[in-house]
Amino acid sequence: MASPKVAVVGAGVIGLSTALCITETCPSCSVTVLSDQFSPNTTSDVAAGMLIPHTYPDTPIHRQKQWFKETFTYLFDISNSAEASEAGIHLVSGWQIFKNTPREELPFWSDIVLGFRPMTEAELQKFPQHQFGQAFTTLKCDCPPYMLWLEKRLKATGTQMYTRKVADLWELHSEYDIVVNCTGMGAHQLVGDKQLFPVRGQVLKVHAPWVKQFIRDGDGLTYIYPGIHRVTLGGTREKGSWSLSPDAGTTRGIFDRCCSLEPSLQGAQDIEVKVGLRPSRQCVRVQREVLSQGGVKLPVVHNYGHGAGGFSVHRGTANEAAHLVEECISALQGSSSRAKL
Amino acid sequence: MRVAVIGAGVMGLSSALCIHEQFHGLVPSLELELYADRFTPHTTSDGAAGLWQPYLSDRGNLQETLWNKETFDYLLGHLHSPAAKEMGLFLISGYNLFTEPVPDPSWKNIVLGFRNLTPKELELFPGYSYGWFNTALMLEGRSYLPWLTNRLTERGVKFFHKKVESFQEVSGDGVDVVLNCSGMRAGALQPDPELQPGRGQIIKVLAPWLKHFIITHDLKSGTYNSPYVIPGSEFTVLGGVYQHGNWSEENSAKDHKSIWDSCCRLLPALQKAKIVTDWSGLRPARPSVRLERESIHLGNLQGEVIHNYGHGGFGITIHWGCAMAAAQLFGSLLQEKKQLATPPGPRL
Repeated sequence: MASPKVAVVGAGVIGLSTALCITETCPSCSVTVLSDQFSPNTTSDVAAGMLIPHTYPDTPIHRQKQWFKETFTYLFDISNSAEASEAGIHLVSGWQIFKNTPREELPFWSDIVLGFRPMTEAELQKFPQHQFGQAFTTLKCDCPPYMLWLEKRLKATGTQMYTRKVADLWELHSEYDIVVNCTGMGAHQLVGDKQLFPVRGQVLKVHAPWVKQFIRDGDGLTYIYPGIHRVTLGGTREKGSWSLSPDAGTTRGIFDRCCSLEPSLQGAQDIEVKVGLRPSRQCVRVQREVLSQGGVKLPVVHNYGHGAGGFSVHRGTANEAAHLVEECISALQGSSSRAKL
Repeated sequence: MRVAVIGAGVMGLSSALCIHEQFHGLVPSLELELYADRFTPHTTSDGAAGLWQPYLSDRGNLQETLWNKETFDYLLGHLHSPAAKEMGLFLISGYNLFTEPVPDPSWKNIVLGFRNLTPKELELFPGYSYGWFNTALMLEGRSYLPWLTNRLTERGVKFFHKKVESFQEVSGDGVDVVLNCSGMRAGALQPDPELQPGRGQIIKVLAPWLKHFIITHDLKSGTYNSPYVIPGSEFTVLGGVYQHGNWSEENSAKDHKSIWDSCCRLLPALQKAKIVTDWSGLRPARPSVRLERESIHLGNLQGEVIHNYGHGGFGITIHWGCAMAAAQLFGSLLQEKKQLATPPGPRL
């Protein structure tokens, strides 16, 4: 197969980074990205893009750690280069605080982020309701800059990108040799995955440029993440809610909770409310599958279900998906040479 | 009781506020007048980035370390107040970088979360093999000085835009005490060979992705003669010049290039930062801060001067401790003049 034609469906952080990895591992591939939405209208654009992993219950920890490590290393190198500001990648330090000391004081990722240590008594005085905390430095992927930077890198490799609503993966079988499914929440409908469920998140993006530190409550519900131009205030984790409409009461709640951790946010300006549906699953689906109809086969590589942890593991899962695409190509080449006999 | 304050930088304004806060209730006749030829945004304090950080060495001045601590604790206590944003006060973390191991600084237990850098962190800064990470405070002059000015105006303090040529000029006509916060120009009021300019130049840029301060140190070339990057609420300050004895307040193209090149080497992403403006200022450098009383003869009258100048490149860092000390000297002065029956303190 001289130039395998690969379609990547989905243009969120997973779709774009997977497409980019495929161009890197398989330079002879012709890659096309198809999506009904592009930045700034993807779920990824709502996320703060903080590299603080979510733990998937059914994915082995060593695999999650490997994904996070690859992602962190990749972004660390970009943040250290002249491209950092264009790519929207920057370091940010801060605190994760707990009202009650957690069972697991050392999360699996503590040796991957920078300078991880327990908070001192003096630091905890800032948070009278909280008994324990962790201080560390991590990375943030600001969107849309990161998404636009990925798109630019893709265009430079000759990758085409089209706005197109794919109703059924099979519809691509005549135009493409391999399909990569990075549709996030869309996979619920597209491939009928009932294990995939939304976890609704509402956030506020505000102008508060004096906030230089992140603060996250270990319960995951309240967080303050300073980005390049805006600070993301969160949030909610509403399992099973499909609503994309901002809720005014929720906005008030988020603002109040964040102000109680960082009172200076009372002076925040230009409050913008956004909603995203985290495409959640007990384990991320990075897997090969072969669709067949009437003797015709279509290899598919799935890469979706990253829930709350998309940014944290995106490059690691993209690498894995790209390797699965390589396997698909080998399988196709093997079967085509068999067909010649 | 009339008090004339000379200087409207961070020292003049904060000392005036401190004295007024502590004594106006006890001395009903207290009137404060503030004289300066430069007001915000044209003072030396306005050019400072506003980062709370003392020099690496306390030069044997333990009193200064205490004043630094008082200032940090005072500001930390105000972090959650509604005034914090208006004051230009916020937390910021960052890096101090060295090419060799150095002893911990006097302020390691004053700041929050002080620790050494890990090997991974040092990968971010090629050429540097040792360093510290800590969380400190920013107090931006462009916000703090106007805030202080507003507090003083509310309290009825009068401001006079005037270049004061002598203590006598302000202390005649019923002024009992002069508070000398004239910073770099103190030598014009009373010769002081120990006070010398430590000229600094900075470049203000837009680099909103930067969330940490980075201060490099070259132990051979001395304090502030090595690149530093300090992100503020709007602008990021690039610097790294300290020229002892240089009185020029003009921007130097050579210094600009040196600062720009060395900061971009430190942080390649800065090449994409938009340059806004350059600024030069004279740090009022002295082997130690001059904070003391002096009796001055004015014809056949006696006047009292409280000196509070010579804070070099750590004015913001030390200001409140010095303001409190100046207020204490004022209190002892009042006691001597029997203006106060008892010193301020808990009532029995």
